[in-house]
Amino acid sequence: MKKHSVWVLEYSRSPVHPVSGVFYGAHNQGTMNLPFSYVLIKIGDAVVLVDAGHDAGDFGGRIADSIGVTGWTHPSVVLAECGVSPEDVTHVILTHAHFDHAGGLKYFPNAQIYMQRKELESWMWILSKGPRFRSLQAGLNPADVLYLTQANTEGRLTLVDGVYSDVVPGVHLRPAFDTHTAGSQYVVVETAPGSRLVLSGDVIYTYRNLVGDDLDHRQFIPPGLANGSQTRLIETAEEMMSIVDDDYRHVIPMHEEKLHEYYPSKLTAGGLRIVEIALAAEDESRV
Amino acid sequence: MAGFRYLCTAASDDSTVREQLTQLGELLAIVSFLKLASDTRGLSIQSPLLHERAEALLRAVSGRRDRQWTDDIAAHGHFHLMSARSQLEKALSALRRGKLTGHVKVMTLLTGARSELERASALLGAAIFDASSCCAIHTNVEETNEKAFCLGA
Ligand SMILES: [Zn+2]
Repeated sequence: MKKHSVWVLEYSRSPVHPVSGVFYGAHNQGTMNLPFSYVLIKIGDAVVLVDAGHDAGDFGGRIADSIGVTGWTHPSVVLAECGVSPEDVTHVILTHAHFDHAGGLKYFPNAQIYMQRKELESWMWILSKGPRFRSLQAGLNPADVLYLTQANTEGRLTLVDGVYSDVVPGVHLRPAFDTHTAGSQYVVVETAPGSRLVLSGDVIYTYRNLVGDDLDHRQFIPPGLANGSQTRLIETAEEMMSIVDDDYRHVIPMHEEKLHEYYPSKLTAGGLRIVEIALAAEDESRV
Repeated sequence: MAGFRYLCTAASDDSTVREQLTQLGELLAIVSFLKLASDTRGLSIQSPLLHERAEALLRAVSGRRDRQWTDDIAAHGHFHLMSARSQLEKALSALRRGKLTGHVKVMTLLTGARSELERASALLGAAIFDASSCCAIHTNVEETNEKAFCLGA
């Protein structure tokens, strides 16, 4: 019997994301559709969000506009599809601090925020290195840093060192250091004894990163974008696969457009996709 | 600066004022981090280097008044940037003075600076931080090319 409900909630999308950012080595292959999502987990009274999206109302929104991101929808509208309001969110787990993952934090004023200490420290290190290191700063919104500082003064920031078990029962954090960012992490959800899901953050963008182009001859294709290394991305992908006993469908990439081919889903009135990855025994389906 | 450029439509093409916006964004991140670090035990950070970098940014965005702006928008944007700069400078020196300073004051200054940068960013039609290498399209937009490399080739 499943204890957790898990939904991937699309809140925005980019119809023109460069393929080379998603697949290492895929130069000059144009652009692709990329959904932007966060993941909602419910267990008992806990309402957990994995990543917080970006905020269309500030700097992050201006960046998003400039790169063709469309359809941004307020979290209150997105979460209402699952009968939840932003104020109900008790925990936000940040897989990393890029603007499209941390920018929406302000919408969840009651949530305790979990991120890797190393992620914060590495951004500070990059900033201390000055202008020659500016390319490593890409994607960090200064307004998000200020928000994290504010949350910290309110006692709502928990810095994690590596593995962290049971943020809420059955929801665990695993480090993915020196991959997409220096202090990335991913999330393991034990929906029932022996049954696990991996929420991959940006370590894995799509299933093609996990299996390549031929299911009979699988190979990892790491994402193109890494402040860390391609080798670490591949090693972490292998670690994820072992957690799900090699069943790649139990790794849930948040930027995967075809999740609905594997799990039940629906399109909202606003044209956003809601994918139901797991449903707790006492919960009602939202798709 | 050569290299990265944003794809958004600029309301002002003045590159100096746009660079100032980026530099002050960086400064907002640094001073916020310094505040966070001062509130947090066991964070391993290069505080002296961050302070040095903050001073360098303050010097780089000096409040020179003799500059001719290319257009009114640039001049107006510059006004908000100088207001942000002044608040960040005060927050930085308050942090340097250490425990005597209430955190409320620093947070108020940082929040004020953020609002001023937001105004400047909106006026200038320019982003405050770079995402070109992370998730944006460069100005040399990716094209579909028949001769695309194969992976591993
Ligand atoms: Zn990212």
